[in-house]
Amino acid sequence: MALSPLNYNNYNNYNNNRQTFNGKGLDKAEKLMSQSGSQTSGLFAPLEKQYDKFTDAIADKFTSRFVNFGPLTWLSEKLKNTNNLLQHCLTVGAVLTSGLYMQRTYTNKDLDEDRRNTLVVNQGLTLILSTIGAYALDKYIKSWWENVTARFAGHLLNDQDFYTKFKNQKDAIIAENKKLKAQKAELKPLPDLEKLITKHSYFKSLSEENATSLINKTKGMGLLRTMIVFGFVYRYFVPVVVTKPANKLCDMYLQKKKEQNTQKA
Amino acid sequence: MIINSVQRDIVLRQGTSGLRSKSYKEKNEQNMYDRGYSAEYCGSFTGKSKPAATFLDKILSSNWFGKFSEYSYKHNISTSSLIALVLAGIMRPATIMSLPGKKDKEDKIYASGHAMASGIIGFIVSTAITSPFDESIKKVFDKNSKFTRGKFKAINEKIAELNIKKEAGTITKEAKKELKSLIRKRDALNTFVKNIPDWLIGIPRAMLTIALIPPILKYVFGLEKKKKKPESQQIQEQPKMNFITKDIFKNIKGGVQ
Repeated sequence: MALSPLNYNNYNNYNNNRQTFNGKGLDKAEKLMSQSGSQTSGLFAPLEKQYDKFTDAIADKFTSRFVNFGPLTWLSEKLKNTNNLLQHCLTVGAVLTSGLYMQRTYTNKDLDEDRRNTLVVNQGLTLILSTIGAYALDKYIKSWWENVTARFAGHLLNDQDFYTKFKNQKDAIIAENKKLKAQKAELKPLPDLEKLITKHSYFKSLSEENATSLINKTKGMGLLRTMIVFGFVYRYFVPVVVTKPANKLCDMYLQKKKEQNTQKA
Repeated sequence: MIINSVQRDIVLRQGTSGLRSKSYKEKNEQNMYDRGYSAEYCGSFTGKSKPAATFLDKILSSNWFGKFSEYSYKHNISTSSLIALVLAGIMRPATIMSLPGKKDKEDKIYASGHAMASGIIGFIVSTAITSPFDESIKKVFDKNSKFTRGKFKAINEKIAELNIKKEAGTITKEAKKELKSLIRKRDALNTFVKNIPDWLIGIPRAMLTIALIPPILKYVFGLEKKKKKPESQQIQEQPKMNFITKDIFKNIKGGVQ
């Protein structure tokens, strides 16, 4: 077939044949993806069923009883208004672990008594100072981290102005509080991020499951701050920066003590 | 001039020669001069610096970060040990090895291996032990849980009742206060229940770590800590003054006899 210029154009012009993206297939794709995500594969289904039964048994026999445990409910009642509950929990964990290491040092027969005692005191002081440092650092970055959380919430709420609005509101109250502090008047409370999120129109439009997930994500940010700070102090800063100088000081003290003893003798 | 269809197509679809394409500079002029930083705000990570803020936004808007923050809320101990794994298993060995000092290289390698092993063991043990507990906590604290009983059930029922009143707008000031207090108590309980297993497994985990570190160092990292010789053995033997026994000195006579 001889191609006329018009036909030639129709055959070769990619614009006539190009694929268009009209988004019609998206709903189907999303549906399929969500189905495949929620369905367990045949291979792991029996294992997951067993695991589910196992966690049901723990919930029934242990956790549901544990939440009614007298001392625990008493402690929750006493500490419900503290903002540092996770920090206290992490500190208790660190005290227990460090206590074990201190006990092992104290009962180590390869070390002489003087060295043992000094090392135990060294470990104890390091624990106390690093815990104070962890609390201080956690408090220091709290406000900045809250701004980051607001930024994160803005992304979750699909609202680009959420962070700016929150920050402006917060900065205005901080500035006002400075003046009120100088006048020794009562300070205004800072904006509650969680409240602002739950009042947002996008949040209200979400299903219960998605709304809970969004709130859990923002709550998780607060916990992450404390975990990163305490982890940094206990697992990085102390072993790398503090331990060596502390051991040197300990050696110097022991050397001095030894010299004094030899002089006396 | 008669315009045929080919020419017409060129004119309409591909543009005319009169419409010259923009140069790179013209296209990117705005971006070329706005590199995202200024002398005023350079280097800070406070959100004022544009590149830092963009980088931060990229992380915060990513799907994995959302999942990670939710995981942190649900699995406190596992996330703590994951952070410890990154800090003790990667950052600490990297810092220890990059510190100056050639003399104690073997000690540095051992310390690095020790840190990595403790990070890995801590994460595996914590996650393996606490994950089923976290799942059970989720089931107990669920809104429509079938595992509630006793005082905890009463708290949940009271919260649900007050929430209905709050939504209906018939809640009193005192009831609102009570609701807030009950929610706080339940949150505190949740935090305790999630974190107390860490206290319980803390000591056995530390003992397991101590016990497993030498074999892990030996078989995984190929490291073995040599026992230091006792000080008495380390002291070099003094050269004996045996020259006195030599003939030349034997012949010397004199001194007090």
